[in-house]
Amino acid sequence: MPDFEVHFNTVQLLGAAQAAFKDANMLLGIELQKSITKNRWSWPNEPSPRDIIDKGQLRDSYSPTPMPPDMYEHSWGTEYAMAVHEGAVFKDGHSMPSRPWVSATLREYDFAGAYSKLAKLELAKVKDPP
Amino acid sequence: MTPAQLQVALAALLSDLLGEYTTGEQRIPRGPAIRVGEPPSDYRATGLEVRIGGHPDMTNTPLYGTESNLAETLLVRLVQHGNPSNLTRATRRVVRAYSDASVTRIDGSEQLGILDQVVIHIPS
Repeated sequence: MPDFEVHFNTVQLLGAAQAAFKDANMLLGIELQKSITKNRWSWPNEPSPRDIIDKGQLRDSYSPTPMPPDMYEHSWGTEYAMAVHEGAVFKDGHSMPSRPWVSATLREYDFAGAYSKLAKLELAKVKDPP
Repeated sequence: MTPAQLQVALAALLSDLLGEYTTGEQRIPRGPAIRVGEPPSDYRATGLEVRIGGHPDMTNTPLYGTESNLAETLLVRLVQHGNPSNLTRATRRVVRAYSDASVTRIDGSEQLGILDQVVIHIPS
């Protein structure tokens, strides 16, 4: 048997990497939402620190959207999402402090580490082709 | 760069675009609408207002071993009160002067009472 071929298992390996990417983003989404519901944000009045929930519209507007093969979108559809994140000044002169739940989570959450662990698990499921 | 130094620099850079603060029903002028921190509650701004954060934001990034990089940024908020708007012109000038700045726009909302404004993070 002098001649033989070696095939790179592209489809299965890519599939494993993409599955891990989707799962890592789902975990990130959980952390992002936790950041809205945790009492970690200082506020000029009591109670402080507090969460970012008033009527729950911001939290409930979260929309995670996988966009295969290699993108995943995290968005919040309320009109005032950016104002909450960056803070805002109002017509009557008063201001609302920033509650940057996205920036804070992205700084604190080890996305690469989570992806690495999930990718290892997915790759372990890849079997030799028949 | 301290917030006070940034205030001086921006006051010069945006001198022809800045609005003004007034107080009371007689609208007594209180100077150009630029300051570090929040203005007093009786101050009213017209035109373009610039608010500079009183303390830098700090982000510490671990590097190798015990080394880390502490990055400080100053926050500048440009707020447009009324028309005509100088927000875009002012933003362009600030970003040209501080090329490593990042910009986020917050669209105004009549319904929510939020003014058109731009937040600029300037590494200090």
